[in-house]
Amino acid sequence: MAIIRNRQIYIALIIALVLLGFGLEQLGYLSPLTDLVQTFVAPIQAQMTRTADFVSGQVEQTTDIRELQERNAELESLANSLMVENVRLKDLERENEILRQLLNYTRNNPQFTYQTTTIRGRSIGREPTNLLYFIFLDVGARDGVAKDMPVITDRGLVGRVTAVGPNSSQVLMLIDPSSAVNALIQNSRVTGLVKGNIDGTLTMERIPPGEEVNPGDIVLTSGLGGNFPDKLVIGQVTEVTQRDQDMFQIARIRPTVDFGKLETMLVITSFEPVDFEAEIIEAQESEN
Amino acid sequence: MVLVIAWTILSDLEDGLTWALVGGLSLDFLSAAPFGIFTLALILVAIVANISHGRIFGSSIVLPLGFTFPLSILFNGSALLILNVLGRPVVWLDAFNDIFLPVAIFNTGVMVLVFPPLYYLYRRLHPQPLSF
Repeated sequence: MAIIRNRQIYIALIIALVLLGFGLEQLGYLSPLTDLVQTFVAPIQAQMTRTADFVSGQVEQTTDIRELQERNAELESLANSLMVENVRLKDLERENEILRQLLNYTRNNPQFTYQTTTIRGRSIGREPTNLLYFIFLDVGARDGVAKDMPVITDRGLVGRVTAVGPNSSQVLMLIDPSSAVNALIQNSRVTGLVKGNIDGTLTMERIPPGEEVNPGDIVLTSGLGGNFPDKLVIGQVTEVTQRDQDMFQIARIRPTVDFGKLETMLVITSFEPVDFEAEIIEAQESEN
Repeated sequence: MVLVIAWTILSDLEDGLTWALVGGLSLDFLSAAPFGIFTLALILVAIVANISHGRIFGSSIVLPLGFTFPLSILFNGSALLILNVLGRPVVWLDAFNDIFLPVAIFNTGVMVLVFPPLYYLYRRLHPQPLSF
């Protein structure tokens, strides 16, 4: 009870002092006292203000740095995503260019039906040894690809399909030593056989002696033998030789297709190679 | 192939044959060549490389370097010989000049880089007991 009474007296006293101070201040009697107090307090106040400003500045700087860091991270992330987007767009542009070239080729050669394909992956899409020249495509029997179908790019003949899986196929390239294509020189219509070499080059063999073949002549498929359609570009003659002991002339051919940079190709799915052996057997059976 | 030669020289024929099997099967699965050719060729390489087993220079780089060149030719030559027997046309002189020789030189260079770390690895896996 005594405590409560003391507290009430204390509160009343404070209120009275505040009211007294207010009255004295209004009447102007308090200013000497406030001036005296401010004289002593001002330097401390100034120092405290500086300290407070300094701390506040530091806090603000820390906040700014954090904001800048966050902003920087956001910008870096944006730059990275833009870079990835840029790479993707460049890739799309390149692919678009290739597809446009292939489209032009298919428009100029409407007699065939085509199946577009790409190498499944450069590292696993190629023959791992250096003794054979094969590539593996990401289209197979499910896409309508069959054995012996020709594979081309807009620049010319790549090779033919030698094995087909459900979703992939194996292509024997023109430059493989086991590849042989009946060909002709575009201008002179001289025929021969284009074979691959183990060093990845092409030679045209069995060119009849006396026939004029010159460096720069364009070599096309002749369609003879029925294994390939005619008029597909193979390459350009770079050198013609005929040794005394040889019956035929031999020409070195520079392929128009860059076999080291094959990406998107076309499989001519409408072309059906002629199987002479099967036809002969069939004819013999029908005769019997 | 370089790994098969190096490990066979460092270790023994069993280890060499294991690597030959792993490497050969990997090549055979990825290649368009008839299955088994490269495994056979690598097994042959491991067997010939094992001739060096226990020789005086077995732990130095001299022997693997000396072996890599002829064994590279043996590997490619035996693989191509099998392909030839199976009906693939081969011009041997061109194959030697354009494939065997450059590959043998390349593999010898690779052996210079590969053998020291393999030797270190082999010694870590098979520490030799001290003898007095």
